[in-house]
Amino acid sequence: MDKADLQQLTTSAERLNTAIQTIGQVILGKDRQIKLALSCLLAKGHCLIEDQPGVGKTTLAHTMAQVMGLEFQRIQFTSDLLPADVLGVSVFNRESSQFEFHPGPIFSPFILADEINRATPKTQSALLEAMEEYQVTVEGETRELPDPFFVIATQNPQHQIGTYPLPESQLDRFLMRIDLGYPDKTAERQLLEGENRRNIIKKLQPVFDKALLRQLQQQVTALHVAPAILDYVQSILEFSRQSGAFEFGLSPRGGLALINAARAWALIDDEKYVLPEHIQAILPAVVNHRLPVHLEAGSKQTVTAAQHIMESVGIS
Amino acid sequence: MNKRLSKPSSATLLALLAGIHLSALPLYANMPVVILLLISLLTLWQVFIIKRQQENPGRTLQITIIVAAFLSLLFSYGQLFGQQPGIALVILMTLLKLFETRGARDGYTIIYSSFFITASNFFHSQSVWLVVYVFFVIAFLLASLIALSDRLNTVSTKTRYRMASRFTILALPFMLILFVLFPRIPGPLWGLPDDAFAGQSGLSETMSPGSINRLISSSAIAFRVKFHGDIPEHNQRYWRGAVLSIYDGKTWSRRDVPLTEPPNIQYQDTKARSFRYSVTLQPTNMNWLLALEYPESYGAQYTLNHEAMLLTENKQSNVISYTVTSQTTAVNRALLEQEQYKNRLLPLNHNPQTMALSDQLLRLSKYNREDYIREVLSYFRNNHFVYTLNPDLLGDNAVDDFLFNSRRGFCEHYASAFTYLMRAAGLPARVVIGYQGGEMNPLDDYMIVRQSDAHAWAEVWINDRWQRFDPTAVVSPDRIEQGIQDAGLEQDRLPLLLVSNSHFIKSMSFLYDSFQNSWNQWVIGFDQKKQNDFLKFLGFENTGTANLILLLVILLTLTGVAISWLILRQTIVERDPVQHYYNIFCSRIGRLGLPRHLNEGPVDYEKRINRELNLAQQTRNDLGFIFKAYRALHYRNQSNSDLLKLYIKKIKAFK
Repeated sequence: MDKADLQQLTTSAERLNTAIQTIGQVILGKDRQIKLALSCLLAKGHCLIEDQPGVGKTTLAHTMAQVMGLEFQRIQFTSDLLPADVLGVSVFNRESSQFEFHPGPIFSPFILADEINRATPKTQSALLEAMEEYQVTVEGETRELPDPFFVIATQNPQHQIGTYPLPESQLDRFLMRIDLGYPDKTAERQLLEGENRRNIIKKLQPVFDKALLRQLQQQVTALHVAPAILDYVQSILEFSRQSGAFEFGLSPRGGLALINAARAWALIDDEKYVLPEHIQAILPAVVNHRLPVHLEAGSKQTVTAAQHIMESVGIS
Repeated sequence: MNKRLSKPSSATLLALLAGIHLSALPLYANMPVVILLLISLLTLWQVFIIKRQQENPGRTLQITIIVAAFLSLLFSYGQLFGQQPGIALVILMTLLKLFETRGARDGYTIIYSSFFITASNFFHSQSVWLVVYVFFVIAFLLASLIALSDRLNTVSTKTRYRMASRFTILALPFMLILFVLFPRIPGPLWGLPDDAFAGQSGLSETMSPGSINRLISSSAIAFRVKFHGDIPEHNQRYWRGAVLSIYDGKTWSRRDVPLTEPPNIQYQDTKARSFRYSVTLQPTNMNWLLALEYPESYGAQYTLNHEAMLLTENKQSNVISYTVTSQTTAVNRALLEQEQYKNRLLPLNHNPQTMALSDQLLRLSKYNREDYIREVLSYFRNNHFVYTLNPDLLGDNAVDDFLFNSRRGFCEHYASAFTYLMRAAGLPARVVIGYQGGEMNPLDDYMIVRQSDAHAWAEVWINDRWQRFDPTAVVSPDRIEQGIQDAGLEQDRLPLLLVSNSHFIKSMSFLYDSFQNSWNQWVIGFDQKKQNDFLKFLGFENTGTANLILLLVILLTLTGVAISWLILRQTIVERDPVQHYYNIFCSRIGRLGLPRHLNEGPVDYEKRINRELNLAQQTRNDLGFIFKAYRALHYRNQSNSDLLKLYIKKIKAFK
């Protein structure tokens, strides 16, 4: 897509859909996941991808960063990674006789925190706190993180030996968890036939820049949520807490997450207001990692929390 | 000071004051001046207190006012008991309650008293206008009640009145059920004190010069008659009321005839002229009814007495209806030998000139009874007697004065003088009062008899029967042939309605009277019999009191449930009309076989409908509009009343 074409895209929705298409050229057959990731970015949330290695987690992050016009940093979490490796360190400069702060990789707008469960809890929480606060405090000095700031963390569900899977309370800090899954047949064929993804990424033109992204994020915050939608969200929260199907219910932060994610989704859908469908669209990504399904002994639970909620909570 | 005891706001206090006055307003017409003065004084004082935010008067002053109120009541009515002083007392006390109002509780007392005062209006009138007025008063009082309870002032004045009107309207079904089904007790519902109808005009049981005359200027309805069949000629319309056979020189009055003395009326089998008719009689406060000569069949609860008066058990304080068949050709032979003298009694040493005239006329007629009567009538005809509404005042020898000096009189003068002359000659004679005439309402086929048709005539015992003589007919034949308005009387004394030539006024008045008649028949006259008939018409055969009450309770409960449901539903509609109509819309589509899943949003539902139902393009468009409008109205941050109207319209039209 040429720059001239991009100029002509007037509405945010058009631009966002162009972005999705562009990303979709790289990540084949995963438009829905791309849209979710984009919503997550627009809603100023962070995203957790929990999936097999090699399904394109890194590629997705990389492509998104490229298309959104954000500088991309990848942090590979390992068991010996220290918080300072993420946040940065102050180093004494002999010439100026002063400590100089060397910012860590976290001071990038777009971060891929790969295999976050391999790091020690100490390092994990350094990242999580930064995600939450949008600032880091190193050696008593507080430093702002760039705006926008977006983290895609990945977690490998298998080979759990020697890992520190994120506890549920920490999972709550991720706005969404997206499952990528294997590509379908046609998409896989295309993938196999096509050229190296990395090369395609390099050729992609960014559709957004930081300023535009900030503006969109503000638009998301301003999008109207009708009382009827709040009613629906409250029913969902109430159901999650009282139905007994889950070990514990959604937190108030979970409720906010639902609304903010739905707002972002509505913006991409070019709506001026949130519809129940928007809530439903982001529901699995937002609630599934927050609601551990209460497994009864012997039962083969195949229904996810989101499915259970969707089927049980009515829209009035 | 305790918050609960804080005095209601000035506006509320003024509303309470206005409520008392509104509820009592129709009653003021019948109230003595002293009481009215006291009421205005208290009102002005109260307004002053409210406007200037003054403190309530102290105990001593309060007691002084109360004593003053009781004294003025005693002064005006002579007593504290009885209906009228009672109502005045309640009004005064309610007004006085304002002077010691400290909290909302006192306000409630005032409003409930106002409701009572409102109800007491019906002692004086049961007209449809009063009923309409009372509805407004009740709505006003309810609004005050809401204002009083709304201590945090959350309801605007407009909303308050809207609420009050709605409550009044919602009470209507209960009112109708109670009206139709509440067990009727024969006679008045509650024992009315004797003064209940003191202010009403109508015939009395006595006749003295001027007693009928005063009725002439009243166009008030005396009674209405519905004829089943023929209608008698104008000169046959003698509505017989009371028979007066005692004369004290000034006043004719009724004799107490024991009910054991039977009537003696010969009805004719052939060639009889019979009229069957139903009379709706306005309250007379008398125990006799009006009927044509002579009643042949009538309701079993009535009795025909020896003097052929149709009597009721109690005084008529309500509008009543009765049906009578009268035979105008029947002959009244009821005069026992031993009571002949009673109908010949005259006061001693009165009217010497009349006695002399009687002697002279007797001689002239050679002591023939019939000739004597003829002579008397021609005496009236030939001596320049004037039929007038402005007769001269008569002296002690009233008949002398009338026959020889003034010669100006109204029907009671002629009837009285004629009867006197008959008795002077030894003929049993008596005065009958009632009504003569009546006017057909062309709109509704019934006859109106007004107070201005009041009349008096004479009956003379001759040839072993009572025979009617009407000396007024001799003096003013048009009175009997045409009616009071054509009798050549002074027009300015007659009611405007009668003398008016305007066709419009006449037809309007007839129209109004038709309406009034229906009101009397179906609302005021809705007695036990009509209630039974109505219930039978509805299919309830067994209408004992117990069954009635059972039916009443059941219907009231059902109505209560129905109205509660309605209110609840309406609140839902009012709170969220968009969702309410969307639910209706969804259930309509549900009938097409595609109900909305509970967890289905409008977008998904629309898609599913379009996918699964094979609809016409027009329907599809409507559907699209409704869904779009619903989304915009329900989930968008703006209310668009035009869109809402169109949305509701489309949903209502959607089949």
